[in-house]
Amino acid sequence: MKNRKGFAWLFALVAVVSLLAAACGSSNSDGGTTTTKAGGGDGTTTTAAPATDGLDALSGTLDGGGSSFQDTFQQQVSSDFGALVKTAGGDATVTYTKSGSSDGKKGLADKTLGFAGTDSPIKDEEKAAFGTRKMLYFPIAGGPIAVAYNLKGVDVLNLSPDTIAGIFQATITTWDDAAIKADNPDAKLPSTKITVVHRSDGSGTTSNFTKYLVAAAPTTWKLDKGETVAWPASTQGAEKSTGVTSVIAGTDGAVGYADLADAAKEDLSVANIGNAAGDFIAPTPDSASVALAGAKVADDLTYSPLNVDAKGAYPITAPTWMLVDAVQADQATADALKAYINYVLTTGQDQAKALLYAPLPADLATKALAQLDQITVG
Amino acid sequence: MTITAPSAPTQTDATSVADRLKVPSDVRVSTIKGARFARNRAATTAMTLAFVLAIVPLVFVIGNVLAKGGPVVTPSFLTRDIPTTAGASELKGDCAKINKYDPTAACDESAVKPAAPKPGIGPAVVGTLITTGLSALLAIPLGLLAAVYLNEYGKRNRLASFIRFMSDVMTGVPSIVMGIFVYTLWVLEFGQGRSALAASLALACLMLPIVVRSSEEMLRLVPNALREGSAALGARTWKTTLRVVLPTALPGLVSGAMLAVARAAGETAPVLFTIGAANTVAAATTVTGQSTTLSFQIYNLITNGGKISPQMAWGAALTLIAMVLILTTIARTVSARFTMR
Amino acid sequence: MTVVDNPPTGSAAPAGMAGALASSKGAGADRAFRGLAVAAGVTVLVILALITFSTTSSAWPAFTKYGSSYFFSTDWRPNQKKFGIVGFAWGTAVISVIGVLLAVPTSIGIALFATEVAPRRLRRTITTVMDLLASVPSVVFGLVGFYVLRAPLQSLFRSIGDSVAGIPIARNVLGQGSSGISLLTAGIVLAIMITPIITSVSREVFNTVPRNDKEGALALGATRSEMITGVIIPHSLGGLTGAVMLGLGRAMGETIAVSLLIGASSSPQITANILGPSDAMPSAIARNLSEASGDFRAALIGLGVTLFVITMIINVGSRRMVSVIDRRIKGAA
Repeated sequence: MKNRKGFAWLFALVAVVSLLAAACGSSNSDGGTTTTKAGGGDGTTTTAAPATDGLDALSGTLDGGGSSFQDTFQQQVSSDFGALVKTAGGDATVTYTKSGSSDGKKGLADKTLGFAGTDSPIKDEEKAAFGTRKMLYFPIAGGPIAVAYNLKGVDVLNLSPDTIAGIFQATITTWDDAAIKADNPDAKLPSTKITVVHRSDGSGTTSNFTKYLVAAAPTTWKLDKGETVAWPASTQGAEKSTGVTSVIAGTDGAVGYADLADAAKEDLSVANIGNAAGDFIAPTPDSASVALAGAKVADDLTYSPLNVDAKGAYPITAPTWMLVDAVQADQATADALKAYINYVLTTGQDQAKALLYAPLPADLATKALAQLDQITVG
Repeated sequence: MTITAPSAPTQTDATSVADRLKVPSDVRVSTIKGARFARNRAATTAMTLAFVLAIVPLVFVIGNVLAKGGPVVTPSFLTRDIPTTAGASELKGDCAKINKYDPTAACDESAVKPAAPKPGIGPAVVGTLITTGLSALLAIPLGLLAAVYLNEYGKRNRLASFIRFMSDVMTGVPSIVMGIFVYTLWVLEFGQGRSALAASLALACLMLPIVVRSSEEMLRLVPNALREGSAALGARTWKTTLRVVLPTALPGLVSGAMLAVARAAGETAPVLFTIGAANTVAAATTVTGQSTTLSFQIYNLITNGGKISPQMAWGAALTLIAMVLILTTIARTVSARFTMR
Repeated sequence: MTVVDNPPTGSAAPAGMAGALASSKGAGADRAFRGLAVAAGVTVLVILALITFSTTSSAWPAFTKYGSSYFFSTDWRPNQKKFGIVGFAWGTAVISVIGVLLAVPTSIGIALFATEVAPRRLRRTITTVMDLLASVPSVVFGLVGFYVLRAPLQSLFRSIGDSVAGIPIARNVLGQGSSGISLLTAGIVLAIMITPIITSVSREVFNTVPRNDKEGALALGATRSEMITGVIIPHSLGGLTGAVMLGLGRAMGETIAVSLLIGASSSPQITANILGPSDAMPSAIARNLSEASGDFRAALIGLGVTLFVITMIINVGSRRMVSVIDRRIKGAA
């Protein structure tokens, strides 16, 4: 009697599990179709009719991943691209999974990814993993890193590099500090305590932000640069850019650094930053593009647009690349990759601005497009 | 702590109690008054209060999850892909916002706004089912066999005691250590990469000691008379175990295993470094590929900000709690039936 | 165990036995099955050994390279290759202590309520409530804390900070609360999370108090509270210590909820300020390990190994404690 009851339970369990499995199995195919539809619906802002030559011959899946900074851009562009290929009669999909720049590079090195999104060039310790393979950098956009804040009654705020350094090192602790007043002679600043919010996970944004401070405030900034730095103990950590912005949004008197797009999502105020030319510049796609144009670009198309000395350039501008193998395993993948990068560098640039990234300046985009020929099959 | 002699007579216990209490011999229960009475009342109130204190967070957590997750959870939420363009869609079509951050934007107020992406966590549901199922497949048979060894063969010998002690210790190992272990050995050292399988291995490590200990408890409850009877009929231990002991203990074993599965389903830390990421149901339907789970997805969504992510996090939390509760309730019902006999 | 007391069960068992009788040869099969079972038992040991070995060897570079400064310094600056873990250990210690301090009286109260006060009906409800609380996943506590509690706690902490601004010691302990995320927040959530386990172990311990002693005390005219302090607590002290240590071990290893609610400082310091941000060992690992490489990775895994060793010691200690009690009870019976 008892045994049978026991087995009955087991059978019931098995039945439930298999039912669930069946439900998931059937939802599978549905899920697949809904994605492409959603992609089609989103591609509304495309201005000119993009070239569709050769797209009908594309096939296969191109998996990319890495930098979370370019995630929003990649998701939008890859979804538009997929829809475009589909209308042209081709059958290629591009996916992008954010997991962090170093993880993306790792994935590309062991060939689990077809391309990597990265905010930084390959570091010395990462080189070994790539062996003798030739890698190509394709700059795809830039982005202003905003100093976002939440301070009642203050909509416009100017900050010079030394003041930013002071705030983020917790030597400036209230909003009516003399240094902040000096940058904003006309603003009415409350005596609210400053709550500094920084990234608690290792991040390219922190790396770029601190690199900027090292360059722009060399005497005041003591914390050096890196993907994680030793922020003062009184400061608050939060995960990811979006974590930082949501803590800022919920805390009066908070200030932190985040991609402009993430600051915009929470409707945060962003500070105008004093640049090398001596002006206070608001973070916008345009001012960041000026910074991109002013940066010195190396032969492999790596460059740093931080603290560029150019009129109207936003000083905390971050670069971002797609990293790919110069030699691809087969023709189909090479074709898909070339077509996608081509799309990103041309039509995709409109999307960049719409998503508050900085579009590439024309000459850099041209250089990147020219580099497409170096992708070969071998 | 010293071990009192086994033959300690109860008499000494009783006197020591009287000593400790210092109760005057003429005091009777009905005459308890004043300070002592008040103290007793206070103590009882404090105990009741402690219980209320534990209910408050439970009600608060469950209430919040129900209120905020309830409206989100629909059949299609549970099966749809995770929207990846959520971030983009929150910016697009909002001209006031775009112009605030990009004064030169060519934002067309009359343009059709892109439809807000529909929330979905299908991949996480599939991933949770696969990883917990897989870890159960790995841990339960192994744990059960180990328990059989402990209770049917090893009993009180050195090896058995050592294994018993070590699996007790292993239940206390922080779950993140299991994640680190699989990450260093399987993902990095063996170069297997992140996958649903890697996450299952970490969860299996977490489940294994729980299964071993709970199964052993259940096997121990099987009356020895049954084993002896079986032996008297000439059956060897393996046959007795398979035909008599295990079937008798089955409900208890199922219950223990399901509690372990429920625990694994809710864990995030072992999954963090081992599972990777997946945004579509198709991608998550895998063993060797990267996937995602509900708990991991909630953790991700919490820090994603915006408007859709928190909604999805609440929905996913409700789904996860429901899943864990269903498993726990089944386990409790099974074990209640078992103990009632 | 009380195996002999169990009533003979079901009719299926004899059927099984009859089946067993039909083929009682097969000593080989028995040996094979035994071998399989032994192998499974040993696998548990092998896995534990593997966990120890593989994590320790991955962390080894950090231990050897940074030596004593790794364990005795608060200087944690990954970008400058400085790895001192004391700040994280401090954070873990503070929140665990807060958690235990809050959870122990509550748990013991609940356990006493369940064993001594509550009517039989309510006892099952208490078990259910505790089971439910235990089954809420860590990340859900984090979710509720992050979205619902942060804002009210922020204004509370700030007003506390303002009101103690002039008081010397209180200023240092409660002065710095600027957002709702802090050591205290994490400690409170930990208390909620470890209450079920401390309660259930305490209940078991209280249930082992001989009935004679309890009734003896009551018969001598003791009130219930006197009976509890005079009989139950002294009898259960060892077991309760075990329960508390078990809870402490659980609290120290808790990752996700803590990670979301502790404030995630990147270089936590030894501070008494419980309303300010800090970080704990497991949450630092959780946030950084995926992206880390080289020495940084080794240092993070080293954090895990250190945590592993500490919880190991605590667990072995608590098991010893509980098993000694076990033996004493059995001896007395």
